[in-house]
Amino acid sequence: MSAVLKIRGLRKSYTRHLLGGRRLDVLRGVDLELERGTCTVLTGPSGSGKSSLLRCIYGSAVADDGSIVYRDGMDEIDICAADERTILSLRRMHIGLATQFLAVVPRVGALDLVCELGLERDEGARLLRTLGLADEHFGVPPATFSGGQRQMLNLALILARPRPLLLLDEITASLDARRKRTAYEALLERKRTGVTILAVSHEVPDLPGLVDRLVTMEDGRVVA
Amino acid sequence: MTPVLALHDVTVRYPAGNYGCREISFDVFPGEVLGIVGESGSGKSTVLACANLDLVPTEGSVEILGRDVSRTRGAERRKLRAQALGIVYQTPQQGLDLAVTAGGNIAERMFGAGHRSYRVVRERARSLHAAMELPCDRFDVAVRTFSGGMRQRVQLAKALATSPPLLLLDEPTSGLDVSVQAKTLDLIRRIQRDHGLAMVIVSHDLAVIRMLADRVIVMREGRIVERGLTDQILGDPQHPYSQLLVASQLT
Repeated sequence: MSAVLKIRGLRKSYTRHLLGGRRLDVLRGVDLELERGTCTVLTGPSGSGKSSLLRCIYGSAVADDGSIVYRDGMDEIDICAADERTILSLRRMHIGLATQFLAVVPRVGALDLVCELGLERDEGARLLRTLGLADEHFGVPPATFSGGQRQMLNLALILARPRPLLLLDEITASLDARRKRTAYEALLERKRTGVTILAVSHEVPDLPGLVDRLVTMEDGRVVA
Repeated sequence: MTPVLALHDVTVRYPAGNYGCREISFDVFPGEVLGIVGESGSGKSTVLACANLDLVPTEGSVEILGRDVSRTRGAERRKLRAQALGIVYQTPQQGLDLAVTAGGNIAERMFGAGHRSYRVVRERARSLHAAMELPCDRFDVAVRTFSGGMRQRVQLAKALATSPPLLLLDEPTSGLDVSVQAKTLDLIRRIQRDHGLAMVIVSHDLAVIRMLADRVIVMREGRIVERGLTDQILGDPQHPYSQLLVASQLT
């Protein structure tokens, strides 16, 4: 087995200059390895650093210390030391992040959003249908979608581009049981093709075969 | 790869001794969108004016497609502007002749770039006019009678008329109501994607920046205080001023 991602001694703090420079230590030395084609679920109390960890991996938060090495074939890239363009290109080709919030683009319909990422119309339509979005919603800008529909579109957007590492931050939080199952099945299908998944979730997906490993964080550290 | 636009240590000092901007360096590659944020008076528009060759830096240089053009003048500068640069100003009267028709404004730029066939120019101007979702029956009407949102779209059509690789946008949606703003932003986003344009967008509206820019520069008192990926600057700003800026935004 080969590790797609190796995190060593990762530290992250937020300095609140508006609060007199108060420093919050959110990651206090995290070590974690993700094997290719596995699904890891990250749990732990709110504020334990789960989302900050995902954001450091995605490059949307700046780590203080440590390394996050992404491996693609023979190439290794330390995301903590990478420049902006390297991270942008990693995001295009390798690492996807989905959160529970959908960044809405005005006037652009759901199907157009998915197809902008490189899918043909019929592939995009198939993906949206698989995730339970009805045809009559394809042309509708997602600003008017319900919470559940937005989350499914979010998932569609992250699945639309084939990327080997997916970071998911509570993407099934507000879904009903049926939609959750649909989402888990879509993820399992990806995992079977070799995609690595790291998901922050308060509940562990119950779909057999999906989750390989549970990691618990507490107070900025991996505890189990 | 050669950057479409590169500024190297650009400083603008006015005769009175005050600074417009100080030691500004950045580059923009084909297809990249760079956002510049900062409060009024922080030097954002000065930087854009240097990029548009409206202003000659006191020190430093501006390169377009790998060539130092900061001190070009006259006909050469006009030609470069027509071929390589498109700009949308915050106030339409800066970029348009309001007494002239929409078609005339768009055509003027094409004639400036060396087009000679009246028929070709008129056809292209018409298709750009339509692509910017401007009503067909207003093509031969003076821009003076246009609404703010329509004027901005005429500016966009004009900027695109010569298919430049670089588009500069100075607060392109400020002062527009939300639905017109959404339409304008959607058009800008589509243009950028369809043509793989390099873009520099100045805005104090962080939502606009979030939607359009890959990378962001934060300016204060003429200097760059922080730079990074858009979601990093907006989600994990490091500099005290960036934190203030992000915290001040209504969301």
